[in-house]
Amino acid sequence: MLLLVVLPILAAGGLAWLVRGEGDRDAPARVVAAAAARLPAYRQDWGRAMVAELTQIHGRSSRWRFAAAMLRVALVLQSRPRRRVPLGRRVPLAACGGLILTAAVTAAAAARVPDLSVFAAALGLLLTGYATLAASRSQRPHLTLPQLIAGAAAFAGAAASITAVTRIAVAHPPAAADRTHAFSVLFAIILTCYLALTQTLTRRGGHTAAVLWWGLTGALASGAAWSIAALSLPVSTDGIAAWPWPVGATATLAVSVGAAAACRSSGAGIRAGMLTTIFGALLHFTIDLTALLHLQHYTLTSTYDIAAYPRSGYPDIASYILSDQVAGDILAGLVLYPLSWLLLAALGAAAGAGLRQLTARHTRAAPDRSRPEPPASHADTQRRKPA
Amino acid sequence: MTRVRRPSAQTAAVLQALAADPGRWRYGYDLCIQLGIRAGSMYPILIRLADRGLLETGWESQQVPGRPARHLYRLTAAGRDYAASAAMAAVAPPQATAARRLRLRPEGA
Repeated sequence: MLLLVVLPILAAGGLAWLVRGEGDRDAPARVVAAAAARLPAYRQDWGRAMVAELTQIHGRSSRWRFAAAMLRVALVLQSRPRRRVPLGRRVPLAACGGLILTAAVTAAAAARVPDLSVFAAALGLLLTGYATLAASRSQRPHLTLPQLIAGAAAFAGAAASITAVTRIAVAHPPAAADRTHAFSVLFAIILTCYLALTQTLTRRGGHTAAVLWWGLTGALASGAAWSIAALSLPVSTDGIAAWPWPVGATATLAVSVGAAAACRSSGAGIRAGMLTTIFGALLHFTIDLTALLHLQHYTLTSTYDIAAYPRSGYPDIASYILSDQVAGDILAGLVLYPLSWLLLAALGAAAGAGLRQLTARHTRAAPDRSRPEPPASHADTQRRKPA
Repeated sequence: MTRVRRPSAQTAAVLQALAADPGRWRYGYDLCIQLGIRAGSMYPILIRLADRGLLETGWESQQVPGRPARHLYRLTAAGRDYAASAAMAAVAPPQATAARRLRLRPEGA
């Protein structure tokens, strides 16, 4: 609900900022300047070329058409041109290896925990697709240390959450039954996205090591808070449901503010907040389901559940409660809460970067690297006299 | 013999426009107007040509008050060669098509 209210406000604010005139610059000029500013450093000359070219275009519609075209060009130029490289054996190896592994894991799941066989197949196929895509995109897979650590942490988190669900499926098979397979596929998609996202967040944008450590620290802090809550407080049949949002929100906000201020970059703050969100969501999922699985007595407390349980078809109350909690944790704990935390990460990163600039301005520290460097004069750039 | 990879129709048009007066510096938007190519297509073409070393870029040397210097483009020597090869490749029919025509031609024709 928060997202539905805040996102349109932010979007409207952004549009209003773009469209308003400022001094001698009209809205198309602001759009082109914003597009040029988003270009990578090695394309900055082309950004300046676009800005300069717009000064020669007259007429409102022509200027808007040019601005729209430059937005498209800026999007295209975000990525470096990929060299066509021989794929060799990596792609067929990744595809065949992944498919064989998927078949083996699905067969094992079908034999031991049949209710999770669809999930195993979906996760295996998605990871195979991701591995094949990654193999086809680079000549030689080169992982940096932050990427390796982030990948290991995300893999451990995903494995822990799968283990928690598997333990529930083994102890209470009806709780893991998913007739439509919707939750099985959704769970597999979420885990694959989380794994892929951690790799992207620690590969691009600079400050990767700092982003990783901030993200991990935030997730571990929130994981510690949830563990203490699960161990010290009586766990109800709602799990530790009262805790996930405030703890995760506080950790994400603190991490994004801290990382943005420390790295002097709002992008680094957002990425650190996203990592906290991903690792934290996986930790909460695991802790919540594990705590609930260890309950001695399962009793229905809400009037809705008391009325719904006899018609639910579940053979016992434990299966009913656990099934409800698994579905709730997948939808809320892995999708909805993280989305709202991401919004907080963006706000926190903006606040952290602004705070840093404010502090630097007040202390007048020298040299002040938080301020953007002035644009190079035309004399600094490659200049040739037209014939 | 190395085969000239045939550029797209729009890239070929840009190459021909630049090759028509190879010593002259041109502006990006003027090329858009002359060739009827949208700026969203023109700039990626120019960037690709520059990345391949076929296009030389520079900035206006004379400062005009109130506006920044504009970017200028002209073909390099390699670009002129490429433009000429591309023009020839566009004129010559593909070998396979020509061979097929010869085969299909009735005897005595």
